[in-house]
Amino acid sequence: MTHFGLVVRGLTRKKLRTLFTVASLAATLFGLTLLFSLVWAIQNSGRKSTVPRVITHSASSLAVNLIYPMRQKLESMDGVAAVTPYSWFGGIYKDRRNFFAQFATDPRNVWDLFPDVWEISEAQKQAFIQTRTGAVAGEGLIAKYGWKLGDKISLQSPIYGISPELTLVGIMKGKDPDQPSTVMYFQHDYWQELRGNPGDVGSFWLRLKNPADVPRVMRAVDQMFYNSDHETKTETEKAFQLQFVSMLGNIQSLAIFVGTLAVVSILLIVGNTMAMAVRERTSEVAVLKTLGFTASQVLALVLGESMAIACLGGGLGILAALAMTPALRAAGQFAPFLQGYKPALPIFVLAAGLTLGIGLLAGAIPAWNSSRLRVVEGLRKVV
Amino acid sequence: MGLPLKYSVRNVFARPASTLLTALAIALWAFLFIFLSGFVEGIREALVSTGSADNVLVLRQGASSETNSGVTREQAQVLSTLTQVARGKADTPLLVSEAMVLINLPKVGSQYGANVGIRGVEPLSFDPQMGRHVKIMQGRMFQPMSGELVVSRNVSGRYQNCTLGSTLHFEHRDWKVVGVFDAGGTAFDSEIWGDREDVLQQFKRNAFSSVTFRLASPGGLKEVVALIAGDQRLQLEARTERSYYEAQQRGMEWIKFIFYALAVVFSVSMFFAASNAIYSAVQGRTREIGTLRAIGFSGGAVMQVFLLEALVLGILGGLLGSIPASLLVPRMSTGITNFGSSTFSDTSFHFHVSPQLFGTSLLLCCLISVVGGFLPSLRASSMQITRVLREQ
Repeated sequence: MTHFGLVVRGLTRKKLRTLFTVASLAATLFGLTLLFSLVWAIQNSGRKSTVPRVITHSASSLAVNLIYPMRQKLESMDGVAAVTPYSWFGGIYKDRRNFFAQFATDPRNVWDLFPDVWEISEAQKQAFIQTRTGAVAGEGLIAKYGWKLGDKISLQSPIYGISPELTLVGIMKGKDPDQPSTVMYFQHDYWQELRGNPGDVGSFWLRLKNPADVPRVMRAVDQMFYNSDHETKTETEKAFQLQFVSMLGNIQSLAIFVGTLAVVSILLIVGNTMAMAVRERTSEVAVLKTLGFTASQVLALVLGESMAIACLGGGLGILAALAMTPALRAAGQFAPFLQGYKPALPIFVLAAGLTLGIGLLAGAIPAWNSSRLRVVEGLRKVV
Repeated sequence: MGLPLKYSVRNVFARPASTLLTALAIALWAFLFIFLSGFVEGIREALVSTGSADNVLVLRQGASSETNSGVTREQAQVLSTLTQVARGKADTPLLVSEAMVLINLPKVGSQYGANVGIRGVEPLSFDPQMGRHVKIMQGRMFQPMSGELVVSRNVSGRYQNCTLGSTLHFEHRDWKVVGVFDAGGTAFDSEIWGDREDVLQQFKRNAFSSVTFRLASPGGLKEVVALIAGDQRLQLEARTERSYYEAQQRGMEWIKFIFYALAVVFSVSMFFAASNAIYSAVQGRTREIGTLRAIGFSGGAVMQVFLLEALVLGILGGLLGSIPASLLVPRMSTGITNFGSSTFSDTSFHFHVSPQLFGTSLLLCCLISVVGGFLPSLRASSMQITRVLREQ
């Protein structure tokens, strides 16, 4: 009979109790792993860009526009390689539920701004430049709506009160398979034309020549427009994306709070099981000690049992959470941050760590008490 | 004949350590449930309770929110002449024209900001006759055209430079916070209010965002909506204030789903905890059960005993968790940006715990405990008497 065998025997003594405890643990770890995975997905939903890019928008808020003449000033700045206007359109395609991002931009150079993001054929780039009412859509949109080149797409804007009639002239392929490609571009000039040429721009993307220039250029741009009618805020792509994440609120604190409550709860449950297991085997432990098992061996046995339960339950829960991956990816339809969801290693390591921690903590006190049991007391006890 | 309730209760407390641990586990679940529900209810309260069914909100046709809408002074003038608009003292129409703008404000303790709505209002906006329940709790009302603002108490707590006496800087000008208001937990509790003409001028706008008026009689709603929709000059759309805010809620559906899903997953955990507790109770008292059966108590009576013990555990744990939760959770507040609604502004809200939530939490604890304890209780009732009495 090995140590391992003794642990197994201990587990199978009261099968139902072990089963219930394992199930309880599995449910908790399943919930926690999913919760933390969700938070992780939200916080890491940004694109990792290899090109030094910054975005310049109004300092007041994203709801305020800049003006077109600013473009030239930005282009002539030291360190700036390319500038393109990028205006959020937010139109409705047939139904309010068909939400996807649309931007009015400059067909001549938008690709210079995002060489690491989009792949599109030269012919289609040209078609986009030549066709005033042309639109370019990401692969994700093509897959979703089954569009073909030449299809007419009409949008309605609740913001601007206009209805652009677009023709699909290009399909762009996203270079990063994990990033959603459900974006549409159309001509900035057309957007302006439909609104009577007010001469405004939502924001400007700037591609810089050198990553080292980023902080300097950011400051220089905002300095240039400080105290003008259109004060700007220029930020890195990452900071810009993180801003949206933070708008979701303090989800991290929320998740930690929920996680803590759940972990304490499951600690109590597993601890209770271990305490019961130890209590009813007092005479057994005494016998083991009589046979020559040392206090530390007894400690190890009880802890071993606790860890076994934890690993079984935790392992099940974590695996179940892993199995949810395809379902979560499918949910990306409703929650954009879930598109291209991949299980995050740090989260699963955390979950595994929690599992082991729970096993140790829950078994700690019962194991300690067991190891310190006086043989005489143990043999005398009628359980 | 059943066993007295006292028996079950006494048994529950016969093993205090085990009972306490299980009750605590259940209590934690109850707390979690109230916390998650309180969040969802808080959002709902902030959005749904806003807006009266007796108020009509008029926006530009096709606009999905006040921030996207524009109503000219002429249009507002036309609306104020409608017969369906209620009249107040001195026969003034109970109608307010307001301007909604968004500014990005940094949150306290963070480098990131969120979009906060500034509502340019007129004196009538504060009038109880407009049904808005906005009261200035600290400081005073702003002076017109003076760059003064009043902020809601939620905003003053969440954003930098928004406490009474602070100065904000936007649109090339300093704005002073001269008062803090309470809007009764409605969506207005996420806003900053300022003088309308001041706001319009500084943001270089010449049209309002919306017009809100009180209905002279509830029956007039259909009429006036049709009237406004049918008038080609106007190009406006009308709906009740309440239905506008209810629609804003639609963007939050996914959060509700996630929270309730979490509550369900963790309740599975609690289910097994309760099962475990009762199962152990049964296991520990096999001889007692055998004796009871031998005396003449039926299997059903034995089962009842253990079901009652499960119920007591559920009540204990439920109260232990729900009471502190009901006291602590409503003090928590947070905010979230409603992307889906196209207002794109931050909604600050307090967690909301209704008496029904307390009751639901308690009920669920009892239910899950009893259902969890069902199988073990069944087992207890069907034990073979002779075998059990023989057991050591």
